[in-house]
Amino acid sequence: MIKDSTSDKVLTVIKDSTVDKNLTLDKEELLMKNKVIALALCTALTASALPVNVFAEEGQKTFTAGATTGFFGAESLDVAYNWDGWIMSIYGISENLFRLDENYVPQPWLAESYENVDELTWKFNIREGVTFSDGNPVTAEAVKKCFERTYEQNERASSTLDIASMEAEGQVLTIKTSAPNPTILNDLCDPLMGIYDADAQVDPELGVPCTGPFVATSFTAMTEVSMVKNENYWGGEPKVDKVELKIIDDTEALNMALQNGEIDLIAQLPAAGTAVFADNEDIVMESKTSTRANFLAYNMKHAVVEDAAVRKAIGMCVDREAFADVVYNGYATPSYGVYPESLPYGSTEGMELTVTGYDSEGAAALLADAGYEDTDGDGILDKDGEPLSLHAITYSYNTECLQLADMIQAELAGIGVEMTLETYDVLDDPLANDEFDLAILSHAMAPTGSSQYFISMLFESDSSENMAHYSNEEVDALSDKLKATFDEEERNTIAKDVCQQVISDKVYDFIVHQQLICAYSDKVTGFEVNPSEYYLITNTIDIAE
Amino acid sequence: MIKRLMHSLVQTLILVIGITFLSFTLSYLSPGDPAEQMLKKGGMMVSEEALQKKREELGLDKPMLIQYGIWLKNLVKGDLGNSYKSRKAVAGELARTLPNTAALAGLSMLLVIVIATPVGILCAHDQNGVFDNIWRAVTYLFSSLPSFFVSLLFMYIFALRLKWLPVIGSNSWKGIIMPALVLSLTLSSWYIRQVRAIVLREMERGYLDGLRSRGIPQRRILFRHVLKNCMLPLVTLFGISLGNMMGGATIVESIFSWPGVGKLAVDSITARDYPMIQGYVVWMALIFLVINFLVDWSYRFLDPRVRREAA
Repeated sequence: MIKDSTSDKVLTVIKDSTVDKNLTLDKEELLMKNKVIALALCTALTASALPVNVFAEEGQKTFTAGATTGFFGAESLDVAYNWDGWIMSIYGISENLFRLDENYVPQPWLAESYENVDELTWKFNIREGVTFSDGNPVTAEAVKKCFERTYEQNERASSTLDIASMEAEGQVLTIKTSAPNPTILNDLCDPLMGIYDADAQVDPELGVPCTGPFVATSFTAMTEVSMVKNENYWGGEPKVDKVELKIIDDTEALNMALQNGEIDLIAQLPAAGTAVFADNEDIVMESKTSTRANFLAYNMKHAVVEDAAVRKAIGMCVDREAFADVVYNGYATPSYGVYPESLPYGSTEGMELTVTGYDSEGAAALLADAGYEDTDGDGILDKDGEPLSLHAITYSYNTECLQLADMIQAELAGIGVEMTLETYDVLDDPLANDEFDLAILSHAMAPTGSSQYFISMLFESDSSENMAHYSNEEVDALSDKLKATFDEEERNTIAKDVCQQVISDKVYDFIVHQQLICAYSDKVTGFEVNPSEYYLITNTIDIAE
Repeated sequence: MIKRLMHSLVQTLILVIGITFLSFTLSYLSPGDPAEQMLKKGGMMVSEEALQKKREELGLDKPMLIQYGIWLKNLVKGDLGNSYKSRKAVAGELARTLPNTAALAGLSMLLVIVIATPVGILCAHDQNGVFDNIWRAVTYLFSSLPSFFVSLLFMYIFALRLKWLPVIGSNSWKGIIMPALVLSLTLSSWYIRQVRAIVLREMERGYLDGLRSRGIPQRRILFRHVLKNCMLPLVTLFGISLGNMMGGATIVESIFSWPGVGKLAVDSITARDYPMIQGYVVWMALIFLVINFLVDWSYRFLDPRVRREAA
């Protein structure tokens, strides 16, 4: 009944409108004209504002990849600016003198060979016949000029590699360092040390010519880059003619773009996204263990975690295997040591481990032995009148760290330890101001493959990121020794000795090492995941028509 | 007239200084500084010396008031400065992203007006009838669903299943359709309720009885008299919405990879890129001033009383 009356009413209105139109035709016509003009203007505005589309020419192979800002987002195409060199290396535009292999060991790249003349002097033979994309030859002089410009432009350069002087002669570049530097080859792998033509005019949009397999033709900061193959590439003709890289910050949209065939590859796929492609036969997923770790850092200035038994008990309450399986869908490697096993100094073989597996009952017993008991019946253990209550902090945007925090919180509650959690967009201030007992962190541990980096940043007593106030004289001495040791095997042994100390002291607790995951269409061939996050696009990538 | 213009100019000036100072203070007080945000990328660590050098280079070691003063001085000269993050001119960055935002906002608002006005009026006309109830359900659904969910749902249906539209917005002209639809549908659902409420209020007025008693058809009353009288509040609402939209639709822009000003603003806030944030705030202030002016100006056409008062 109601239905009928309503439809009638609607009909009446529509009918009325027809009658009315006839009555006031002139006015309506005028109004209509105005509307058409307005619509045309809007359409024109819309059309003019649309970004230009780059259509693939016939017969040309185009490879398209997508990633979030973190992996693809560059501000400019200038190797020397901020972190843009890193992104340009990922893009396949810039290359270095050395390149990290899948075990993070530096291998010759634009440098063909090297000679360690004395503790401070290194001679590098630059590969013959390599040219920049503009055709200029890559000589020792060109490399020297490039480094000079980078050191002038980027404040990170001198802390990456401390160069005292450089000399260039033909293809031989001699570098003198201010102090003995056994990790110079690793340092030269840092994309900030990428090689570009410093003599060329810097294009505000496309930067300067480099040596990589691809050359940018258009670039919109933090949005997209279009590239064509470098006709002068020294390492063999690139298999595809064009490469399009797009930043898609929403991971669901990123996944759908691959499923829809709009992109051929997702670089650095978040672990949560792997479930989407697990049963998709057209998509290949490949991963390698990176040096990125989720770890715990205890504030040694705070009494509540000063007791080693408490730190060990917390470590025993973390189910590393379950965390890797559930949160990372299996794309993470549980850790009981410090560095990932894939590194030459990462193995825990022969080491004395403090925690070897998940054991919450053992943790409860350990705390009981250490004198903690719930004397006031509030469900929280206490000792000397002080409840065992911790304040933890982590990043508000890092899903994995947040899930780890939740997991630890629940596990600790089970054995009578209270944990409060606070999350921050920027963690630097609470870390620097000691506003934590336990910090749940995520860092790249050996971006250039060198063990020294993390030891100098976190483990040395006076290191800049040592927010845990970790201090062990033996570690300091070992670190000094590492800085002066050139023999690779000896260096690995020293690094392992440091790890043993860190494991025993339990100030840092490494939970899992993350994997770098790439998902790509089965049409893609010649692609290989490099765990260092420095490389992605190479000349071997090909795509079937 | 000149006096009024001068008055609005002075007001504008005070407003711009007030809000830019406020936004500068807020970004300054928020934790983390631009140097840290720039140098510590993706879990990498840098030395304190490098951070200090960057701070000096960007002038961050100066007191906040001095920093704001320098910025204001440059603004008077018409220079919005350069972004800390990209080193590019702030004005240029805004000019690059604004056309995209304007296109998206323009198309969405057009769709909102086309959808919401007739539906809202018809709902009012059919108060509590089936048509009204169906639209009530639809509007409740769309206004309660978050825009990211609607975006992903549309993406799944129109891109993945039906293959009609692309996932990546900036790839082709078709790319604007989905983000514009999402924005207009979520906003329309709110507008339909607003239009309905305004029209219902107007329909209670006594003059309608007079019109009806003179035998004027209901439809003519609705679209000639009621709609005309509803225009004032509606235009004001549309103005505010257009202003909001010209500030960018961050979530939708981000999901559809639409390079608009909303995404730029959020990226700048994350990076504590003060000049870029300030540039965005100035743009927002200007757009609202212009829209307010246009809305006021339109009253003269829509309401003879305002015209007479002005005269």
